[in-house]
Amino acid sequence: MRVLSTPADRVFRLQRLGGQHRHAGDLDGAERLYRRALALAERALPPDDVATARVRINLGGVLKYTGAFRDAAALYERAHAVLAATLGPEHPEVATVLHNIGGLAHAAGRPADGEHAARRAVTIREASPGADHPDTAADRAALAAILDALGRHDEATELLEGALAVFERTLGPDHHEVAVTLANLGAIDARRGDLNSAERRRRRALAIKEHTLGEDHVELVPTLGTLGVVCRRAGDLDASRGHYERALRLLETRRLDAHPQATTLRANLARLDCREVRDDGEARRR
Amino acid sequence: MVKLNPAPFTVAVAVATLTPAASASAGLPPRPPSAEVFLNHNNTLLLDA
Repeated sequence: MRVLSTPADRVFRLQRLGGQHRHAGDLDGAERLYRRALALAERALPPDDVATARVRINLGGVLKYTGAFRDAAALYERAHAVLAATLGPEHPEVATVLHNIGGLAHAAGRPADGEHAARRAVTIREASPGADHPDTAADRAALAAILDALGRHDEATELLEGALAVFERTLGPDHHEVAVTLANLGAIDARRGDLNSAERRRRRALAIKEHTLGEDHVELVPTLGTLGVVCRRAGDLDASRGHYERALRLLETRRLDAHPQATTLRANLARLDCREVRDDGEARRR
Repeated sequence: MVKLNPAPFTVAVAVATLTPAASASAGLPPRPPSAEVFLNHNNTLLLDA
């Protein structure tokens, strides 16, 4: 057995465990492990250590998912300062934290605040490791979601389709990245009124996520929620309600009732209860 | 006399206890290349307005 003799080793192991819990959808467990890693790193490593910055990025990522946006922002900003000063402002790891800073603004409902950071991430990573690397594709896909939220659907579609091609070629057709990208393309389809394409893409995304993550993973929430909107607009109100309620249960069992996604799902359910929507659905079925 | 340092054993026990059983099969696939730091995903959830 390898003896974990140094604080850096222990920080690394705690980080890796935190990642496993996060992958499994156990956000509480992941947060607990990342906090332990951070406490150890802050106690035992130099204040500008890159390993500590990595822990901050990963803890910030979990806090984005739990809705603790302010705490996540502070962690990302500190990590960005350390990484830019230590590795240089053009380093790919700086792109990673900028990618996440953009994503945090997107999740918090302030997409305009995230555009600059997301674009910087793309620019840095296109220089290294290059435009066809899946991480660079992930940066473009993340920027696309921000642009979509800002109403720039054409630009977002172009970025997402380019990213999807890279993901399918480098990671395979059933990878999680493919699912996220398909789901976001499906949301744009729905905004444009192309419900057939929206439903096809969202269902494929859901199938990949269920296969790779399991049926109770919190990552399913946005896919289910938008599929519910597509079903409602297509007149299938029962299916719509089923998707919304399943997504809400996934959040509520993790005590994430106050998360912005839960608020959106409840608003969508309330709309489903409106008489006007019910009448519209009945008319579509006739 | 052999003197044992308890810290490594504590960590080893923690590793064994905290690893989620389903992590290998039910988790996200590994990200390239090193995957030590995660890139967040920006998932779109439509508001039905």
